[in-house]
Amino acid sequence: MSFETPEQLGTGSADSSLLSGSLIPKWLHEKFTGVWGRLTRAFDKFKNQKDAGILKRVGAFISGLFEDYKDLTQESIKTREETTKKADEIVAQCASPEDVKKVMETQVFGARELTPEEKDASDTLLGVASETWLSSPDRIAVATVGDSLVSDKPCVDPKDLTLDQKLATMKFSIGYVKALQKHCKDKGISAEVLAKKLEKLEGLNRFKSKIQAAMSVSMASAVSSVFDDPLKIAKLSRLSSQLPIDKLQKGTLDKSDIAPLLPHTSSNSELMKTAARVVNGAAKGEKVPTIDMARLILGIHERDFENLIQMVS
Amino acid sequence: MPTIDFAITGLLEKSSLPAFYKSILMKVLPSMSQIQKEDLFVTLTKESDRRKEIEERGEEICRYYDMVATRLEKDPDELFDSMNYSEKKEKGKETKAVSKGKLSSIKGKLDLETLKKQVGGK
Repeated sequence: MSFETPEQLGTGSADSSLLSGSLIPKWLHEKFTGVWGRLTRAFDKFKNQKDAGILKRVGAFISGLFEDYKDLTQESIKTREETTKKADEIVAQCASPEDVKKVMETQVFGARELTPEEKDASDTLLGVASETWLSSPDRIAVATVGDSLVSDKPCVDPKDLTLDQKLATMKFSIGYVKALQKHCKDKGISAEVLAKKLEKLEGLNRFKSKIQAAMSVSMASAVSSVFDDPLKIAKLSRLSSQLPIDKLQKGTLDKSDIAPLLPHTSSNSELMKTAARVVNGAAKGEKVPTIDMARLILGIHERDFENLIQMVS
Repeated sequence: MPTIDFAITGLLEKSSLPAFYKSILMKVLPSMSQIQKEDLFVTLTKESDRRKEIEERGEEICRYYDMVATRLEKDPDELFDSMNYSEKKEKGKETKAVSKGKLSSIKGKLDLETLKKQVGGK
């Protein structure tokens, strides 16, 4: 990003939030924001003196600092991406679904020993998740988004996640639910049993609340990235044009409002009622009952997953 | 623990990899082949070196702009005068370099002419 005029560099439009944080070490970022503050204060001082010549030159310094910061972050991102790509190749060669499941277990339950019920829940839910993740072409994006949302020291700040990373995660979620659906059908697992297993993964609730927070923080950046891809706009605008927005905002959607967006599922009236309840609950920021989640996972047509995830998120 | 495992563990802790990858790599490290370990070690060392370079460059940039800010706060005229002087000096060097280039090109042409004459004369 470059600035057109020195005035644009005043504290109004060019505050230090432009130096978006998590991509370089924190201490270095703080040094940059410190210098940035000093330069913008100098700019404001000269702005009052109305000396266009000096303003232009101070503006050039701020712009220079910004460009240098941007170069550093780009290089930092490139380094992290190259390292992750290499690490991913090694993981694909060496790690088994069981290894991945063990790591997931530690993330969800901590390092303690699991109870038999927790072990059972983990075998189904994390077992399927690890297999889906290992066979996914979007392993890196999914791990990055996951780390960003649940880690105390994330490798990428949630607001710096790209739209592609979020879409890849959405794609992974759809694949995961489809695989879970198949697993449950093959093993004869009912919605009630699945709900009990879901309840055992307490860690997922922590994950869910973080996802919601991250989604709202990143909404502005997501909206601007959407304009890069007309297809994505079409997809999102289709959703918003087919849903009554006022009802969506108030959380008062009816099953008939949701039906046009879930055409393959709409023949099942009970499922549509559950879907409406879940979307309304999400709109009000309420905790989705696990039994509703389980019913949706088992009952919803795979072609309708994407729309449902978009509505909930 | 073998030395290379120990070194990889240290590098992994400081790496910018997503935590999920770090945990998986730590878990599978004992069962990795020597070639895979070496591969991972090289990758992580390269990352560590590049991060160090980035940090050093960042510090250098901050030092420069810190100096600029101090001089701006103290005496902006002195800062801009010294910058004008340096710019002129740089421009002078460029002009000099261009002139030198032109001179050597003319000299070359003259030498060529002389050589041609000498060849023609013979």
